[in-house]
Amino acid sequence: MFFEVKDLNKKYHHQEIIHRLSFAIDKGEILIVLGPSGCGKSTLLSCINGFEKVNGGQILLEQQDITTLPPEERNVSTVFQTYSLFPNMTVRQNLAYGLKFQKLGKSQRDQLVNKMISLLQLESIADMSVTEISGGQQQRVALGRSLIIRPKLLLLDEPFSNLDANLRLRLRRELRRVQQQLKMTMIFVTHDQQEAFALGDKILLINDGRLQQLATGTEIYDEPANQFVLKFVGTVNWLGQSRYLRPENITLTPDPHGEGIITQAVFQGPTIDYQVNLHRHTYQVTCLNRGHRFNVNERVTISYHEKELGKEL
Amino acid sequence: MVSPPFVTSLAYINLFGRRGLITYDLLHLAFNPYGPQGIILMQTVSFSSLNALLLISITQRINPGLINSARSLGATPTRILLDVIIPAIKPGIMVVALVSFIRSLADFQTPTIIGGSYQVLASAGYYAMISMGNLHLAALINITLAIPAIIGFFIYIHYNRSLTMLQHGLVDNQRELILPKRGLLWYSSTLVSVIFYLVLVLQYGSIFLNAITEQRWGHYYFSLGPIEQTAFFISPEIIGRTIGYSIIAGFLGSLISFLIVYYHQVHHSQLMKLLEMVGTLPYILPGTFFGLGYLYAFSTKPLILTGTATIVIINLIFKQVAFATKAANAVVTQVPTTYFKSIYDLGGSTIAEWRDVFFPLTKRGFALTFLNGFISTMTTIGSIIFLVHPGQELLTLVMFDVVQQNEYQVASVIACFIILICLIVAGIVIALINLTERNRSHVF
Ligand SMILES: Nc1ncnc2c1ncn2[C@@H]1O[C@H](COP(=O)(O)OP(=O)(O)OP(=O)(O)O)[C@@H](O)[C@H]1O
Ligand SMILES: [Mg+2]
Repeated sequence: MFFEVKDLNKKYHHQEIIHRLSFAIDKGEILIVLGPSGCGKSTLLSCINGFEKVNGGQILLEQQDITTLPPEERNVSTVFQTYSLFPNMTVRQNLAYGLKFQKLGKSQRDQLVNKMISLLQLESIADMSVTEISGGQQQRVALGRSLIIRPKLLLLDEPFSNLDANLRLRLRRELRRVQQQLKMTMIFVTHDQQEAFALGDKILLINDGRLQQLATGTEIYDEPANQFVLKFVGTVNWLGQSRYLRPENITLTPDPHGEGIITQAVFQGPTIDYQVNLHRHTYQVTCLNRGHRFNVNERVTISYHEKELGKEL
Repeated sequence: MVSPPFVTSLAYINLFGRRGLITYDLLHLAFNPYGPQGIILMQTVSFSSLNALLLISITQRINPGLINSARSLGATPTRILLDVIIPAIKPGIMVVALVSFIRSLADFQTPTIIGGSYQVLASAGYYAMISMGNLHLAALINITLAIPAIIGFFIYIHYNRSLTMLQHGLVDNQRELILPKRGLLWYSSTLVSVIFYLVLVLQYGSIFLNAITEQRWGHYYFSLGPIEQTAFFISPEIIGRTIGYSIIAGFLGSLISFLIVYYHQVHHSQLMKLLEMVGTLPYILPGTFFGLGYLYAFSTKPLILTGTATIVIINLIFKQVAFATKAANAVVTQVPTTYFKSIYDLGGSTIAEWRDVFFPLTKRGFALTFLNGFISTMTTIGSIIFLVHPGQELLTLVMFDVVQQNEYQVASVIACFIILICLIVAGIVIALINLTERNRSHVF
């Protein structure tokens, strides 16, 4: 395996934050670390990049044990949530910073910087001070600054969480493109399921510092390993004790004699979320915004395919 | 920080003077400590603790994320210092250097004590006034001194502004700057700090020793002699007057500053903004310049105050305003203006605003500003030395006098008194702050 974490343990003041966490990634993969706020995602990253000492376990990069190396010697680079660009330097100087510590000639360095500038489409701001550029641009510079040194492993801690929704979508796509172009191995932390599904080859879902499931997005959504995963990645309608349905698997049909009543409709743009009352149970239903739109108090019948029923847990 | 500026020089003479503990008793050297090298050395040492404090507080404002990013890109601790930390505190270094430059220009005490026959402008101005009684010559010299100070002041304003813009981008919640303790620079800076601490320990240690020992046949003995001797020079009345003046100046100076800042920041009064600017001048201009100004201003009608206690107290109060407005500014800017707005929004008046928002939220800052004013009045000398008349002496002035009469042991005792009083008052103020804050936690 290219990168491996074995039995990782981390405590802060005798409180265990990460419990015996193990996982591995192949070269060129993006691993998404997903979990609720406070579950230990950032802590995991700071064990991997070396800013925190671990209390147990091993971290291996290309079979080399890096558990106790200082951050600057790890060949692991981090893009922090807070950008942390050097305010006294221009965009170009920020990008070039990490190259100072590699044995490269000046022309080689300039070439790499120019390549990164065009890769991230920063031409128009390359010689501006980083204090004068927008949040999205700062984020791209922060990304480029780490990408340019070609770390064996790139860590990203919720890098897009401070950006607006459109920009987030665009940068997500850009990151994917750049990652594939450079064949970079990445660990990307997020608490947003959408982002996890959109970006990751594999998703590592953690809660309370414990591994819940390590699988592809579709596997996590369709075959969750436990109740926590099931609820964390989507909404659930329970049918009895152990059978459930996702909201998009329920079909509503307008029917003046139907037993279901629409109690709430939330417009989401491409989809509409309904709440339906049937036999004193409330069901969450998501429909495409196409064809008939239901109104509150409208009567409906509910149907679903047997094969869409969630597997027993 | 809690001692008069020339304590460093006093300690220096105690240790390295003609009869100094180290040069004479330990090394049996006949070493002449007086002259320009002594002046420069003393000014360097006595300004550096304040400068260090300022730079430390500026360094703490650096975003730790910057350092982590640099490390994660492969930077060594030495490179981080050169590429991240020094550029970030550069305006701070400039400010500190300028303030030290201007203070050194104005400092007449160090040169009079250890300059020997070597004179600088500030000490010449002092002698012109004290020995020759030549007010006009003294004024001329002080105006000459004020020119570079004013130029320096504008440069200072420039850098001080860029200091407030230090923060850029988002800030992590991690507050500590963590640099690995490695690299040549780390070892050399540790060495410098250790030497600096040693110098401080030596300085206060020697003052204290001098205050409680006596030398007989080449040996030091514990003795109350110096303290008894001191009784000839200071009376309880002088101590009381010094403390009284310090309390008044500290309190009124802080109050005026908070009022100015309140009307400037909360009510955007332009007049108050101007007052605040003018108020910072004593911060930068030589103290003696102000003292002489007061002499000129209040020796003719309509206000004849020379020789009275009032003129001294007024001078002390307005000297506080310079520093206190800065402190008040820092405190008041931390109170979100929406707090004030919401008072009016809910139908409250200005009184309600003061009682319910301004006072409760700034009283901690007010207490600390008062403390600062108290200590700086206890230890001040420059601006009042020409204003105080015989019979109205203050502790620092007596101390300065006895140093010039070579009564170093008495001076050491007085220095200890001053330090002790400052520490006790600081203890009381801080205890009061903690007491009132224990029952209450802020919701911000
Ligand atoms: N330096 C520290 N000292 C003590 N406890 C800490 C420290 N850093 C984090 N913790 C605790 O560790 C737990 C995990 O924190 P962490 O920052 O890793 O969460 P996270 O998953 O990144 O959350 P978020 O999504 O909000 O960023 C939290 O309970 C936090 O209080
Ligand atoms: Mg986090």
